[in-house]
Amino acid sequence: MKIKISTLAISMLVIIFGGILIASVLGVWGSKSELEQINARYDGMDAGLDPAQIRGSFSFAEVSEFFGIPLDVLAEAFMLPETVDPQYFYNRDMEALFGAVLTEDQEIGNSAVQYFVALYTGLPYQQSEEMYLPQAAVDILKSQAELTDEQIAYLDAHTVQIDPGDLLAALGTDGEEEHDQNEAVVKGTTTFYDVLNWGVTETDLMAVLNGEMPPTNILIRDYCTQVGLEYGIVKAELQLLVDAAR
Amino acid sequence: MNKTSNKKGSKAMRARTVIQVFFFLLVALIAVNHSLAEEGKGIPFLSDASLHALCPFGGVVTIYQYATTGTFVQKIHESSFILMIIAFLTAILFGPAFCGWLCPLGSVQEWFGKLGRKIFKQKYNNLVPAKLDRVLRYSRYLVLIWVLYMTAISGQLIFADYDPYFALFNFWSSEVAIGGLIVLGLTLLLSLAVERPWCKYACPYGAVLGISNLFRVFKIKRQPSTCINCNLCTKQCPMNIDVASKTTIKDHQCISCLECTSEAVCPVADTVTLQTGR
Repeated sequence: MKIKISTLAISMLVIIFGGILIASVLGVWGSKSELEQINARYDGMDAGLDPAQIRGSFSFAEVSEFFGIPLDVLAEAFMLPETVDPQYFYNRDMEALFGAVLTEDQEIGNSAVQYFVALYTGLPYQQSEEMYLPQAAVDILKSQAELTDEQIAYLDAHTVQIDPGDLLAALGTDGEEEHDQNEAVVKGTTTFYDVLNWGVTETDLMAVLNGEMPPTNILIRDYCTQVGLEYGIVKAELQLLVDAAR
Repeated sequence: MNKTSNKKGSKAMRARTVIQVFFFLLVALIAVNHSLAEEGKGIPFLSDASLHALCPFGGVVTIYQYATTGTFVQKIHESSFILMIIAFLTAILFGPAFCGWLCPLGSVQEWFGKLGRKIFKQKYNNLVPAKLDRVLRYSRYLVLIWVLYMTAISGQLIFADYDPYFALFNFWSSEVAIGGLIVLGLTLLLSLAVERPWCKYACPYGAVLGISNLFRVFKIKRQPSTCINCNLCTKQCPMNIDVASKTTIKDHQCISCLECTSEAVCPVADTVTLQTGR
């Protein structure tokens, strides 16, 4: 059977757009961002959105929309300088904002937003690492959220005093260091391949994990969840090994 | 003898040009909209998917990870997987028509090549020594093996840092690695002397789809009984395949552009055609 050029052209278009249409109808065409997919699956907080699903790619506006927390509360809690529009401030930029003003064992990043949201809304949250929050966030939680004595005690022990002037200075130098792809910081997007690449040996890695060497392409966080390890502890131990190796 | 005029040929091939321009604009618009959407200014009713979500090669590089861990490589979406399946389906039927008809990077190289033809005239696309060229044509399989291996062990989209397709549609964003911009620049520069240099020598996805030329359902065939040995089919082939010496094109480099066929450049009707059968 012979076919013409026009037939090939039409066939290609039909197969491609038909295939996409069928995939969409079947619900397997996932070209949208993680956020949009979550948005489609859940209708806000009432439908059971889990603070643990907040990702670094979420903007404050999106966190606000999903969890019903006023945008200005988020901005105040995390001490966003007035020059930063909270609508377009992304959680992934938290570490850049606070990185320069915290000590080595402290971190205020996407997990801190998850923790704050969980306490503010009263939604359940599985805390897997030490959490630190700025004084402003703790003040808001104490005045607006229903906290248990245990939570208040934990917050008191994990409150970080930050000078707003230091944050402005950090913003001024933001960028190059934080977005340096060679930075050796264990975080949510780090794979075992990264850690090996930073000089940690397989033997040391297996000692931390107390088991066999996992596939190198898996996210450390996902692996810990899968095998029931405390991600915060593994992360801290691996960071020590990485720092020593470099 | 029923002859096909050049005018009729160029009219038939206009469909390919229209589809190439359409897909180039579609991908460009989605890439721009992706950037706009990140600033909250996205265009309604137009997808703002990331470029990684629209690349079927993303599906190929994530196969290993999906099989071993059940997850996708970072930045890869389900849509990449779906597009990979669709592209494989078209390749089984028509060979690498995705390369010849849809791939915007291939189209851009062709458009740069039109300028190259004016500069180098007859020497255009014939500048690489034949022996060297023959060996280099397999280098894209080395690129493919490297990309698959590195992605498999790292779980990261290693190729994105060198991908000229990603650089082409994201050159304005901070997401593009300098490596990608350099490869894109070199590709466009070489396109002035060689037709589709990236496709011929380096494209890992072209390497994958090229294998379909060995078993595709609709093949490009030449009828020796009606062929007048004018060699126009060979001269027209952007991938320098010697169509005039073959009866069935099984060359792994064929991109199914159909420029060699009797509807396009071949002056004799039903002599070079796209058809089933052995």
